[in-house]
Amino acid sequence: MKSKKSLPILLVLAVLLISGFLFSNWQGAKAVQTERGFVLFFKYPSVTVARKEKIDLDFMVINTGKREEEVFLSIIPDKKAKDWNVGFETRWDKMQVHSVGLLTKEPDNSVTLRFYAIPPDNAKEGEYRFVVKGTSLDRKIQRSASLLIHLVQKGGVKEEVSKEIELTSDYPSMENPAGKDFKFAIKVKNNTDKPVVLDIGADFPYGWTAYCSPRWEEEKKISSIKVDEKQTENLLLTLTPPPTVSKGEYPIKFAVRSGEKVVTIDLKAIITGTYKLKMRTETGRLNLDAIAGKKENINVYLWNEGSAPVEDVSFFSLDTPKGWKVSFEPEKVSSVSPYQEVRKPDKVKISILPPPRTIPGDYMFTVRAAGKQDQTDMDLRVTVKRSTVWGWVGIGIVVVIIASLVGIFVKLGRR
Amino acid sequence: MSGIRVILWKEMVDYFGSKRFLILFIIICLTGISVAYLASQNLGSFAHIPGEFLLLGFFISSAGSLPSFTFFVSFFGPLIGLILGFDAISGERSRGTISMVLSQPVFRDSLINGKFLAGLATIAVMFVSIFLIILGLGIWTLGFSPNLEEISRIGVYYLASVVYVGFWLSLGILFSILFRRTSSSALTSIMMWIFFTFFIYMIANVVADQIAPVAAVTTPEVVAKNEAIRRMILRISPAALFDQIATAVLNPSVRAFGFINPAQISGLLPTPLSLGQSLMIVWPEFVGLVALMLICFAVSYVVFMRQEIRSL
Repeated sequence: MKSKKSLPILLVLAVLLISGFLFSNWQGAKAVQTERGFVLFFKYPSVTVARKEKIDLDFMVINTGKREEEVFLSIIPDKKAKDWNVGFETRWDKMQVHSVGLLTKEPDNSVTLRFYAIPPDNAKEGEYRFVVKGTSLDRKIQRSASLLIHLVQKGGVKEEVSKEIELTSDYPSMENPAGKDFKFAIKVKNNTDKPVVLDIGADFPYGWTAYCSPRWEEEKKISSIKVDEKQTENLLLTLTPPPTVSKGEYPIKFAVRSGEKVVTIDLKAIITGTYKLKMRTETGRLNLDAIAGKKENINVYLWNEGSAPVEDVSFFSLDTPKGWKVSFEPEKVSSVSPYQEVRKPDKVKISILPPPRTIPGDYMFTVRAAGKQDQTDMDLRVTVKRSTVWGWVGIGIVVVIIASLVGIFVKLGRR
Repeated sequence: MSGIRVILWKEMVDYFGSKRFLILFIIICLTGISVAYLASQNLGSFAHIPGEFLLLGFFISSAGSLPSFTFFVSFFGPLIGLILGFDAISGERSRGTISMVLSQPVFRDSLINGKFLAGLATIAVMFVSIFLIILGLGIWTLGFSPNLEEISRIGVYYLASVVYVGFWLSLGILFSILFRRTSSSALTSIMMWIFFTFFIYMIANVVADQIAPVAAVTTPEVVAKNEAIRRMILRISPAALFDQIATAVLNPSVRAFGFINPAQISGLLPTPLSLGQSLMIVWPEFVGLVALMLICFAVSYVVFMRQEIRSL
């Protein structure tokens, strides 16, 4: 009884086993079949273009299988588009392409072609459809991709799209004091779908120097740049004005050129002028001797090494020892013109009066000339000496004593 | 004047030949040299002295428990002067030689002038030798020769030392004229020495603290007043005057004595003073010391000239 009951179970098991085996076999056969394959596609399968323009579009063929393939390409336009001149060409050297070869491994498993379409002169506005068919060498695999071109009148397309190269700057006008560099950040945008190589140039005032560099690599000086299609490159234009530059506005023109086409952008550099006050004593010495309680004078020259006048310059002393009087003559100068204009410095007389009971020694304080735009400091060291009056008084006392001693000698001597 | 020269030479021979002077001189010489030598062994204490004044360190630095050379001069220098002077006249009197001397063709003023100058010359010679020994020790230890500033400062200090000891010499001569007995002259001299070099400091402190007591919590005014009174009293002591001169001349960074208001030294740079300025600080003290010596001598001169010799 036992064996009779177990027979159907065994049968079921055997069937399952065989069918499983067969199934796995069948799966294997299918895998062999899908080992071949490729895809075709347009990067931009639907576009709007202006009439009388050549249309260039990227088209890709990718091998998805595990065998090398050779794919024949054919373009089937719809009825309306029969007069169009269409075809494939290589991206760089513009050869006509009829078939592509694909390997299995990257990067040779894909090819990017350029699909071009030239509408006839009498082409009307409207939609035109193209179907691209790809057939493998043994005609076992066929794939297709379609493209829809919407043709419009010229000008109907947005202005920006027609501009091929665009130059923009966020800050086209800059203000700097003389002696500082101007740095303009400029964006170069390539609106075409081709990479372009651009020559860089700039028009700037005489005596200035300029160079161009990538925005983030200022140490690299470049004279041309390649901008990939639909990409934006950031540039930095550095301008160095001459040290003697005077105040004013300076126009600068930045230009890029690609073949015959020149695109420019107008920039403006505004020099606000520099202010550099300088101070020096007449002799160059920064120390002087003074006697406690007596006024001591020192002459100081003040001039402006900048390019614009410093206004409202007043003088004062800092860290002055207690009880000291430091006065200036004149106390104020209304304006100190640039030295290269006036060719002579301003003369200031500083009077220093240490109090009568000053402890002898070296004292230091700071003299400052401060105008609206700039200020300058000078440290002065004053050696205070005792008045010699008391020295002479002491010598006088000793002389009087000696004299009276001599008087005693004369009066009482020779006894 | 020939009388003075004779007395001067005679007295100097006596001084340098006398045993008690020789013993004193050797003691002082050895003390000074050992102090300077110990200072040279302890050069770390020179750290606060600016490099260009290192040689001065041998005079002002103290080694361990031993005081500095300047202290020895101000404390024991008077003893030299007093020992040279205390029996100048009274000794002659007690030996009965004064009338013998004066019966010679020698004027009376020549005797006292000659004795004073001989004492001063002895002091000068003694100090030259001590100073040269210390200077030589300093050069030997440090390995470089002194510069002009050091030499002139040491020179001024030397001058002050001679004047200071000269004052005590003239004081001793004055006592030797005033007192007939040598022992009372000696005792008075020693008393004066102890008073002016020792007690005066205590008295000044006590008086100053009585008039302007400095409490634990006090104001700068009180401290300044206390210090001013103390210094006022000390001014009558030649030893205190000499201490100040020595401090200012041998330490170029000293620019004032007494209490200094911090506002007074605002902006002051810690640079050494020139010798002229250092001297200006203690000029009153210097003049005072010279005047004291001269007046003391003048008084003893007048007293001696008016004395009746024969009655002695």
